[in-house]
Amino acid sequence: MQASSRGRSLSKFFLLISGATLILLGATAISLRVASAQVAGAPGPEVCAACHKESYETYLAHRHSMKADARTPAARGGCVACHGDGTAHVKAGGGRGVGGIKNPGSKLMASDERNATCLNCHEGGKRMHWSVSLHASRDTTCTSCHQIHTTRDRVRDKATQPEVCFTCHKEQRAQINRPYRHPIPEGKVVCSDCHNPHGSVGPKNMVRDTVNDTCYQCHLEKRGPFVRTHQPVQEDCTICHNPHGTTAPALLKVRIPFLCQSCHQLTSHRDDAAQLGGGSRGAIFEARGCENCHTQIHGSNAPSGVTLPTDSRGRAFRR
Amino acid sequence: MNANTSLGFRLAPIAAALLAAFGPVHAAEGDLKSKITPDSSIEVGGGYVDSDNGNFGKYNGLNEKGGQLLLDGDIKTRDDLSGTWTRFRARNLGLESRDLRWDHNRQGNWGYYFEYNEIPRFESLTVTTPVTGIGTSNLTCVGAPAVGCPGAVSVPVDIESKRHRYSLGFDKMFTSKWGFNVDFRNEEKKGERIFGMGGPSNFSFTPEPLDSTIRLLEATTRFTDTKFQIVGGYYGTQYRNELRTLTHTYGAAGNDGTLILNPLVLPPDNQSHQLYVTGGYSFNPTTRGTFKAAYTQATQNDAFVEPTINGRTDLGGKIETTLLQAGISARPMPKLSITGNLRYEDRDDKTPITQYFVGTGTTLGFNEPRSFKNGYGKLEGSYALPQGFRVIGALEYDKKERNTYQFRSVSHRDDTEEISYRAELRRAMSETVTGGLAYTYSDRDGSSYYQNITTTGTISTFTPTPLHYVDRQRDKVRLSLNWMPVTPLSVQFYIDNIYDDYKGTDTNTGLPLGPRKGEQQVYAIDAAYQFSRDWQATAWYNFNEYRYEQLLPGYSDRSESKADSFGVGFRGKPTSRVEVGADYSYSDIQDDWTQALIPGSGFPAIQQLPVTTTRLTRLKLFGKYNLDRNSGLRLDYIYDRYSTDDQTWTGWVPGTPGGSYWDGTVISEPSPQTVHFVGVRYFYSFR
Repeated sequence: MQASSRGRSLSKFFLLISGATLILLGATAISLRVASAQVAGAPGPEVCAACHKESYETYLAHRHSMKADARTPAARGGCVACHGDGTAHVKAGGGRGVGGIKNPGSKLMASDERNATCLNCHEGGKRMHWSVSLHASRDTTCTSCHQIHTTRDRVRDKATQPEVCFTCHKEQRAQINRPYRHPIPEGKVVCSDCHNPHGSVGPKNMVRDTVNDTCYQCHLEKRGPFVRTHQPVQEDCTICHNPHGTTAPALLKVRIPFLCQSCHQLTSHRDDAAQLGGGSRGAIFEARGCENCHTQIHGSNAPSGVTLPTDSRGRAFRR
Repeated sequence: MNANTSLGFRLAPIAAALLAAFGPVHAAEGDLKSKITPDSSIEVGGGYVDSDNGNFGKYNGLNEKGGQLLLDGDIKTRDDLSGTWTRFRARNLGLESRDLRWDHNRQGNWGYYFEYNEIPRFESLTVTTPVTGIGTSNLTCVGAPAVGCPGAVSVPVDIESKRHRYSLGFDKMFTSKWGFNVDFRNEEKKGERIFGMGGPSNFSFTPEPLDSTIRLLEATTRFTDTKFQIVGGYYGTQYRNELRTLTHTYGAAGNDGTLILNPLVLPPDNQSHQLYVTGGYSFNPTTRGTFKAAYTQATQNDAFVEPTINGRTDLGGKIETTLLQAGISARPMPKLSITGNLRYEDRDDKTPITQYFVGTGTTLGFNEPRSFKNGYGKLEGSYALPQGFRVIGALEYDKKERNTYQFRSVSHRDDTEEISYRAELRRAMSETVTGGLAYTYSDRDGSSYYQNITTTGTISTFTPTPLHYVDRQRDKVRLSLNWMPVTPLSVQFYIDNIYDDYKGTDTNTGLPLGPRKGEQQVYAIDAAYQFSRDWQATAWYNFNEYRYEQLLPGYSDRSESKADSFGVGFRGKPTSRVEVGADYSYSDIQDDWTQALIPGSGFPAIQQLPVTTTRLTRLKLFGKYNLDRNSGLRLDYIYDRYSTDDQTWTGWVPGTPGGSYWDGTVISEPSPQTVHFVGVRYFYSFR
């Protein structure tokens, strides 16, 4: 590859961000805050139940109420673990926000403060990268998607999860009803099969490190490497496919041959306008389009053709 | 005196008073117990589909006319003292799309699960063919090749596949902070899909057998502390194809132009192994850093199906991928939040380069491994303004490097880089109006192009630029608005517009060539109204448009897809025993491919393609009647209508020169397809 000025600009950019990071670390160290106060002696769940009966019942039905698990709110004082010390709240006779009581579901709290309530316990595992995730930077909160005081959190049920995601992702709501799609409405593939909404190191919150590695979870036959590789296939499946649904077979973004012709040139039929009714132009539009001939478009492991040694049909993805 | 202690003393009499006043809470302990015990349910019934269909039942197993058993269950138990849960869940047991799962875990200690899932895919196209052996590696068709397969009778065949997925996992916490987890998935895929080979004027229908197995294994160990979390893991994948080749014997070898392609080589076995470590550290309550480092080795050494000139018996394919990521989020001042993210990926294809045949034209017969490098960086700042507003500025940088080879048929550039600038005003803290308005400008360019060149030194006349390489300027505007003017009403507006301007040129002439314009538009409005605690209604409308224009050597084309979709629905409880609901949705999609001859280009005349209209209508109704506290009946009705005038297969029929399967196979898509489904179930819930 050519060593170019672009390589130097990349290095400069990374240096700039690294420098900014160090400055931030210093600045934040100065503004170090004290962790949230202890809540020893605060009212227990039974006290809260006097006014919040329904919430109390859903709490008891929830995993959060299991005292045997030392990590749960139940093992750390109950309601106060998430809602803060309610002593003043009780003393004042209750009321919304009275006595400093917290409601992490309230839209009047800052999103990072709301999320901190949950992340105090849930910051590990698949939520490790939440703080730098796309959702976090868009002020998405845990309660934007999750229901806490219920035993049926809709976003954790395959049958209802997409409805929750479509609250914001309108384009995808329409796309999953296209003729060519993944079985999302049937609950056989759901958003979290491919995306980690809590953040990941992959693009678009992919559950794996890259788009392709995510697709390979179910489409491993496309990985290769092959004797004859197709460059965009190796780089990123979404160069050609829209996984949420399209009107083109195989979830292609644009119908063949127009998609293929966005890269391929004269010697590879770029001058062939599409038409109906057969002939070479019909053959690139009708039936499987360009794939009528170029069958193995994701790559061919045929080392050569049958008319050795000069047959190159494998290279043209024909067999 | 400690403040907490002081409050604790004061609280005691208050709590005592409250408990005395609300004594019934305890008095009704039995009632409470029934409410907090996990609820279980079983549903059993029957359903009826009134007609065969391709679209409605594609993935749910309701693709054929007839009756179906409807059987679902969800059984949960919990031991409150130990925190041990057991759950068995089964869905669609009577259908081809069945799945079931068993979970057993003691919270904070151990857990395991087993899951079985069937994912069917029934081809929505109708196939009539004389080809036999479908689903195997040997296809046959008796008869003379030139005119199809006389003597063989074309019959309707079902093209379908199904994934049988078995998953199991185990989790163990050794201490409150240290744990271990392992997940394994074994997925067997059986069936076939529409496939064909041939060209340039003769084609054979050769359904591809899909029988294969995918295995995924991930094992991790983790440490989770309040400040520091780290996970180290192994992730392995394996693909095993049961069949290596696909051979068709359609009459005598000769003039069909496809037998020379025998055998078609099926996807090879391959595998990968990844080791990774990922973690996060909270420096203080407002500053957190995250990282990941991963190394992956993917190999492919499946034996070739035929000899090569160099004596190699397999590719010896090997790709090594290194990934490094670091991120930080911080709030250095109460109103200022900063997020930074760096990511570097090096995908090094170390497959040995070998000459496999004596090539001509754009190849000398060597294989061409593909390597990539990707560097990505993001810096975003957010500053809080009065009244819950925030102003956000972001900078993103994305650089990709790719390799190429001496001879090529598609032009190439070594690297591309894209810089994006985003400005946004957002309001998240409000109970009436929240949302944001964002504008993003992106500019992609890269190094100079390599022209296409053949082994004889000929430089191609045209050097267009691949879509994902070409210089591009992108403007993106996004508006989202959530409005709750009064408590029962919520309205949501959403606009997302993208405008792409591509700058590809013919490097020989400097004239515009290749991708020119791109446009994506989404407009959506949603409304929900809560009439009462028991009645609510929703309505929504979506408009999606995708447009893409390109300039080719002799003509231009524009691909355009426009879709209008809307839906309405309601849920209600007219009486304490009855629940009802309805959802109606409609989509109208117009796909247009416009082609225009460039005057004076000397290229032959162009036929305009017809606009394709696809419409989908679905009405879902349900009613539940509670016979008593624990049981009841549920009635479901679904109306589904799918129509299209797509001509993909209408002209691809025997007798069409250069546009048919010579063996006589006919593929079509019935339209319209109207389906009525009725289901009745008895449900029983218990605790």
